[in-house]
Amino acid sequence: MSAGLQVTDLSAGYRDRAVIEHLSLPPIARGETVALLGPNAAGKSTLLRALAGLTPARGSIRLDGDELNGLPLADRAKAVTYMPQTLPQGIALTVLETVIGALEASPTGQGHGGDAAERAMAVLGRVGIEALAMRGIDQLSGGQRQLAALAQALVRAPRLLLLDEPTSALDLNHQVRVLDLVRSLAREQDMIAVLVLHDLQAAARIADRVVVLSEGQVAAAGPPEEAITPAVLADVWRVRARIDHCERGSLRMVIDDIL
Amino acid sequence: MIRSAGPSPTMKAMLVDYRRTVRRRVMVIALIAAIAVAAFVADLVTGPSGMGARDVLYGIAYPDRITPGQRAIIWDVRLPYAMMAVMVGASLSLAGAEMQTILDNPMASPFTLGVSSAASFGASLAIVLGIGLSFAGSWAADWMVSLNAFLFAFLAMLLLQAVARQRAAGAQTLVLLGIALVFAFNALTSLVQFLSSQEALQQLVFWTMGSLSRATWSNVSVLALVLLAVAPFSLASARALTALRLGEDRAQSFGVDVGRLRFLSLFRISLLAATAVAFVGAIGFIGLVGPHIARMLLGEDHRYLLPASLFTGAAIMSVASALSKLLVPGVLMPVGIVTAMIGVPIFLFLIFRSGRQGA
Repeated sequence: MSAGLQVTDLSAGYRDRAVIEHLSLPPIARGETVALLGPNAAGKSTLLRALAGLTPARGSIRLDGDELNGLPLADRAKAVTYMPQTLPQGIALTVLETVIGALEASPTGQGHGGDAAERAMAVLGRVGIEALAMRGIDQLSGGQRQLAALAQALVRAPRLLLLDEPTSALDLNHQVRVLDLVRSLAREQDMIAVLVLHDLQAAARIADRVVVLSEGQVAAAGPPEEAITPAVLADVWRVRARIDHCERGSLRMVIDDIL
Repeated sequence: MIRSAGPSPTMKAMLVDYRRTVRRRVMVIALIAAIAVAAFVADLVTGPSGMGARDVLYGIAYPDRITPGQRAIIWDVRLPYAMMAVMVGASLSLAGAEMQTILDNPMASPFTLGVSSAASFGASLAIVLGIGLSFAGSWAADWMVSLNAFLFAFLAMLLLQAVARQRAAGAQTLVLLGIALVFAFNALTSLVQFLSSQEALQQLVFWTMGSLSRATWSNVSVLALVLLAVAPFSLASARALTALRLGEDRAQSFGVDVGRLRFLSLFRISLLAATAVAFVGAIGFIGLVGPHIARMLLGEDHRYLLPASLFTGAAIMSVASALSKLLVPGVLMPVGIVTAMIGVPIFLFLIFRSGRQGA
């Protein structure tokens, strides 16, 4: 039995159309942050939903040696939490209530011990929005809502956290804040974070590893500087680009034109 | 598990605030329950016979010290009526609260989405067909009417559920389908009325105007049993329903089997709404307004919202029942007319309020 996530020979999609077929990922270790990249309709969200158990899939998804595929939702939810792009509007709940709600929706892998309100509050503190605990979730800004959503996911103490475009509606400051928080929490809590991202630069900044998908297949995978190359950008996104690395090691991309 | 150095002063203050809010909510629920009891008593002591509050309460306490006439009024009319009002209000409001959550639609209620109309049509069919049968008017025929009302209400629910499951179908589609169901079943009911005999027509009119006048101890007990059987399951689903408010995918990822939750919830709603409608006819707005008032007072943590909706519905229905006896002295107005008269202004207020919020 090995710690981490192993995805082998996974196929998933809609009833009449497979979006990903026989896809395998390089093994992902606990504590790693992985960015799923690729153009629209490449299969990123389908892969994420298949990992979450929201889209039926064939193949194997092993987490710390245990097969997740085919597990009932309640059992899977003890190890895996999925965070959709946005929270719905018009909810008459406070931030703290949504986090308690997430914790109490079903038993978590960590057991049900301790006071739910205290656990929820500790997570809000870790995410940095404890002062908003008693605010209505509908009164928050987009960035604050996303942090509240992150707290809802984290309170379940997942071993595998799946985030679908968590920064798509956020300003630059909140993008950096949310992504950095995800990475440090993954390391701190020995959790695997898999994020679907569109911003390659942001992905390169926070991900230990990126997986580039194209037409339901892995087009490139590895550390950002190895996987995000002019050749991959040309092949997968059909853009001509130059890539260099600034002195702090992060990746800088200059797009020239469309191929 | 998130570990930290311990709660900061802000976190402690927020926890104190939260616990105060929880205590306040329990108090508010107790207050609504007390209002419901008061409304029940008010309903009990009003009536065309002119028996005052003292006479009625004395007659309940000492049934053998009053005249047979008084006893008949109190024990065969006032009490079953008032208890039916409580049970119907509680059932429809609880059903409405669950329905609004599982269909993710604040305008959902058994009435607005055509479930009551479907039940009325089912009942009319049974009345018309039952009249022709030899056991007409018997115990079996009465139950056939209720059973058929239930069956059609459940079918309407299944149809709504099938549409709700389509990914493309939003809240608007559901409301439109509900309106279509209301019109379709009302038209079918009218057709049955048009084709039916004079004898059947009299009974059919009962269905188009919700009324407590058929309340008897036996159907009050049946509705009470249904409510008693269903409410614990509703409350047991409260946490899952709260999680569902955060979105279907999110709730699933928190371990809630949304498909199962929705099916069982629709089953409970059908049971409550159809049983209530089967005994008193189509009574509108309680299932819509009750949960909305509860939500405004307590928010959407369903552990509080569901019991609050139940008591709010009971209170509104009892007030409506008392008013139906007071509005035109000496005349017992069908209570469905009164609930609509109370409900429409509240309904309009809610529409314009949510319109201003852009929701």
